[in-house]
Amino acid sequence: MIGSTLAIVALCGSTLGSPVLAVDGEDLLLSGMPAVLSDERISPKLRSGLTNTFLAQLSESDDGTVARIDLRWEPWDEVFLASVTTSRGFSANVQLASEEDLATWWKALRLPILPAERQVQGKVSLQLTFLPFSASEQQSTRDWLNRSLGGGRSSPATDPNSVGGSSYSRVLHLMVSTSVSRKALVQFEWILTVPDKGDP
Amino acid sequence: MSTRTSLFISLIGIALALGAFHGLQATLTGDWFALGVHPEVMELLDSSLEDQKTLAEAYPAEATTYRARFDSIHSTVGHLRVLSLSRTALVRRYEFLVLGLLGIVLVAGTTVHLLGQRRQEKRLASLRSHLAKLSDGSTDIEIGDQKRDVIGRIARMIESTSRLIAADRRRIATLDNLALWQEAARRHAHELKTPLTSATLELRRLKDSHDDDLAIHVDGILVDLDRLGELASAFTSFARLPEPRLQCLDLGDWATNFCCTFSQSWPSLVLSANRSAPTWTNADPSMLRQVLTNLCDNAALSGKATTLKIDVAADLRRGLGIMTITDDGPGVPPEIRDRLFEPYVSTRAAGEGMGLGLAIAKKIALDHGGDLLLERTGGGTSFRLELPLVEEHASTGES
Repeated sequence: MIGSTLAIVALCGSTLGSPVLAVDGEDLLLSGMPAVLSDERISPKLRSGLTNTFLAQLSESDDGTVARIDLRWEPWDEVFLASVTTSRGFSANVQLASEEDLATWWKALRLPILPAERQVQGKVSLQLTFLPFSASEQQSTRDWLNRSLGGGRSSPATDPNSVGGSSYSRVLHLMVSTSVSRKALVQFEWILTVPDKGDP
Repeated sequence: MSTRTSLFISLIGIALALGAFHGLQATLTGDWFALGVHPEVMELLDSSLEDQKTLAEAYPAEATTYRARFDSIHSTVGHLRVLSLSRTALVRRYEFLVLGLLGIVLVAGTTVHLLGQRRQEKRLASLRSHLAKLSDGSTDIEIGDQKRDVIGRIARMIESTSRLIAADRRRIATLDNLALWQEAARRHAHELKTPLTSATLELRRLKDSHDDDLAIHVDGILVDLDRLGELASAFTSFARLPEPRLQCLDLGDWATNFCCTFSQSWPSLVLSANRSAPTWTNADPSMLRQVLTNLCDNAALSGKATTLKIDVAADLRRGLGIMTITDDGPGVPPEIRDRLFEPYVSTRAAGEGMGLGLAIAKKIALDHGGDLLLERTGGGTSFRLELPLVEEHASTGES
């Protein structure tokens, strides 16, 4: 997409470093997360107040997304709210007082993403996708726009019972609601080595 | 321009229009959209957020209110930031939508134009076909294009021309026919006159030199010879109809004067004239009088007509003055209607007329550039005498 601000960049073995896969008991752990938070396309978004989402996807995984990390700056309390969820059922929620704390926490992440007995061997591709806002914030914005364009009434897209609005406004609602969508702002990719089960 | 060429040019035009629109609106739309998320706006909102926090700290009792305001402003800021991140998609979607609408309008307009052009081409092809028939001599042309545009007017002109040509051909055929009859009459008159004159002289001499009994027979023969002489004179009159000496006259006034002047000439007929408006024409008054006299003679000789009415009106569309002469006689027998204006066609017995009156009247009308037609018969008879209106009065209808 020429001129698009949604540039997808694949970084393999960049100067940011790459994460590491390790076996810890019954889990395959993902750790050593690179300092992507300092990327110039990501760091300005961290204090936007929107929910920034990082999705980790493993190429050899049938499950698709193996981990999800949500970061949100709470402007009233002036803290970062971070939550982590993995496909192994791991979850955590923390508050971090500063960007430095956030960076430290990020670097120390150890995420169980797959069971150790999974027959994943050799090299795998890990993609980390950055989405600048959440699905609920996307929908909220659509609703807000539709209310504004519809003169205060909710749109047919959000209110199934709504029968008002001219044809023009319906077209506008449709155009707006399908245009406000989450698209990845940045994407990172690494080729990682899957350790043997006996390796630490 | 053929339909294919028009289609090709239209497609190029549409592509150029869409391309120009894309280039123009891509710049404008982006700028307009940027106004909504202008950095100044975001700064003001951020500043307002800080203000609410400061107020909440300064007035703890109202902290809940300030927190609610803060959340509201923060929500708006979030929406604007989401919009800003979706700006490219929004602008592109808007552009596609407007381009699509513009494309639909252009395509629809082009389609309508091409269909209209195709229809016009068919109409023009029909015109060309009928023009070819007209040039080949057809006079029964009916195109049936009633539209009020240029092509419709041309179609009606072709139909009108066809009718005029048909009328002229009939007129020429009649004149040719009458010319033949006139030549025949001239020869008959010439062949008759010389022996008639000789026979008349010999008989008069015979009458003077013999007894009274023979004189009676001679008188009877002389009467018959006089009758033949009248026949020869009639042939001569028909053969030598003079050229009309035209004067500008009002047909209505002329008809009224005729009725007044000749009101007692046919004791069995009551003459009357009606007129609607001045009807100026160029005509020879004496020849007009001969036409009306012949028609009045026929009405009177029918034995049953009691009235003869003359109506005068102007047909401005055709540029004609119309004089309608109507009697209440028995009408024209069907067997002679088709030959009514031919010489020597008569329903009267021998010796009561030679059947030249209507032929002479028709010739006079044709020599004036008009015509004499049987309009209606059966329960009275109506003739229509048409004469060209004087040009300036034909165009304005004024006297």
